[in-house]
Amino acid sequence: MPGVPDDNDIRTREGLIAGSEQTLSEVYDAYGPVVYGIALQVTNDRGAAEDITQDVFVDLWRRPDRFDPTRAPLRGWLCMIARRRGIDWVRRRCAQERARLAAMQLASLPVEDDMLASTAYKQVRRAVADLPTPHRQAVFLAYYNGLTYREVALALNIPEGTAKWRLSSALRRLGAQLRAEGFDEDVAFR
Amino acid sequence: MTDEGHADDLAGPYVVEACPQEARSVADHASNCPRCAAEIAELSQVVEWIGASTAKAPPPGLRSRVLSAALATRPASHARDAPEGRWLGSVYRIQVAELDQLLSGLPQPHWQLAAGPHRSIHDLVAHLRGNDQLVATAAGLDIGTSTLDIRLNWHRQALAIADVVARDGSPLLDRPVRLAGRRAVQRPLREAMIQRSFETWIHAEDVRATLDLPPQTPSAQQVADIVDFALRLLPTALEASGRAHPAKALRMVLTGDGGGIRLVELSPTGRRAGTVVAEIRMPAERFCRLLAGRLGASSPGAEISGERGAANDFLTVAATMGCD
Repeated sequence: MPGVPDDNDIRTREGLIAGSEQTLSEVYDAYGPVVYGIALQVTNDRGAAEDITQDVFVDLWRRPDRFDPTRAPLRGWLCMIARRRGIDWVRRRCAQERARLAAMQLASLPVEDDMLASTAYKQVRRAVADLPTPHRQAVFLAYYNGLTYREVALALNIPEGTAKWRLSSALRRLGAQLRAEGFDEDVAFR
Repeated sequence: MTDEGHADDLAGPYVVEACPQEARSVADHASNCPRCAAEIAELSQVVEWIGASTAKAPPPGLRSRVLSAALATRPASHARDAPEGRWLGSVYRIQVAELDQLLSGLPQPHWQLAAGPHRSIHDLVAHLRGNDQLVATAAGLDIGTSTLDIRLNWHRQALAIADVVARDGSPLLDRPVRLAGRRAVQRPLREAMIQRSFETWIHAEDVRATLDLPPQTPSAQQVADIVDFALRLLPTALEASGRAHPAKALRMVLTGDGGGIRLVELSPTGRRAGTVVAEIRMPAERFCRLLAGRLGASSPGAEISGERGAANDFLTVAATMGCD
C-alpha cells in the first residue's frame, strides 16, 4: 500500500530510465542475491533460478518505468516478480513434480551453508521456523508454491475460512515478533 | 470481506497474491480505509522480509551474463556524455565490485593460494592497494589502514577514489600522478584511472584463474580505453628499453569488442609520422592481456606481416606495460 517512497529507489529508477549502466550494476549487486535466492527457493533448480534472475533484471532495465516507488520498495517489488516467475516456471512442470517440491519445502526453510548469513536473515528464518506447523504450511503453500487460499484449503483439507485465517495470522505473528526484535522498514539485509 | 467491508482475514492472502477473485475488492476498499491500508502495508513488509531472508549469493559468472543480456536489449545511454570523472569513476567501480565479489566469498585458506605472479591472493590485494594508493595520494585522500583486513582496506580506498574522481572531475583529472609499473612515468590522473580499472580487472582475472572460474572480458569501451592508454605510452617505453625504431610506425589491427585500427610510432618522434613497416593483427582483448604480462611473450596469438624485428620489439615492450 502507498507509503513514503524511498529516496534511493527514486534515484535508482531515474538512473535506470536514463540508461545508466552503473545504476544497473548497483541494482544487481544490491538485489541479485535476493532475486536469485527466491527463485531458487521456489524452483529448487539452479539453472531455472539463474534464468529467472536474468529475466528479472533484463526486464527492469528494459522497462524501469514499470517500477513505481510509491507503491512498493524496489526490493519488495523485485521479490514479488522473482517469486511469480518461479511459480510460473514450476507450474509449467508436471503436477507430480510440483507436489514433490511442496512436500520437501513443507518441512522448513532449508538453511544452506552458503545462504547469506547476516543476523537479519537468520532472525527471519528462525521466526518462520518457530511458527506452528499449520501456519507455516499455509505460508509456504501460498508464498513459495503460489497456491490461492482456496487451493491451500484443499491441499490441507481445511475450511477456506481457516486457510485465510492461518495465512493472515501467520504473517501477523511474524510481523509482531520481528518488530519486537527491532525490525522496521529500513532493516538492512547485508 | 466482512460485513463492514474490511479486509480482515483476506489481508494475509491478499499480500501473497493468494486471493485473485477478491483482490480487486480488497484493493478498492483499502484505498479508502486507512485501517486496512495500514494492515496490508504491515503484512506486505513481513512478506518482503520473508522473501529477502532466502537471499543467496548468485554464481559468480551470472553477474556479467545478466549485465550483458540487459545491455544487449537496450544499450546504456552513452555514459561518454556524462562528465568524464563520472565515467572514469563508474568504469573503475564496476571492476572493483567484480573483484570484491570474488574476494567476499573466499574461504580463509584460499587467501594463501598463489594468483597471477603473486605468491598469494593476500599479497595480490596488498599489492593492488599499494598501486591504488598512488592515485589516492595524488587525489589528496588519506585512507589509513584501520583494520588488519586487507580486503576492507583495499575496498575502502578504491571506493573513495571512485567517489572523489566522479565528484571532482577536472581539474583533478589533470593532476600528474606516477603510474604504477616498473617505469617511473608521470601522467594525468585521468590516465591513471584507466590504469586502475585495467589492473583491477587483471587481478580479478588472476583470482578467477586460481579458483578455476571462467575469464571475463571488460566492456568494449573499457578495452578501447586500455588500448589507447597503452599506445600513448609505448613510443617512450620502446625508447627507454632500447628497442625504438626511429621514423618507423606500425599498424595495429585489433579485432573484436573495443578493437579498431591504430597507427603507432615506434619511437617518440614528435610530430613527424614514421613510415608504416609492419602490421600486427590480434583480438583487442588479447592485446590487453599481453599488456598486463598475462600472455607468454612468445605466443601472443598475433599475426605479423612486414618487418618482423620491429613488430617483435613492439610486442616485447608491450608485454612489460603491466603493473606487477
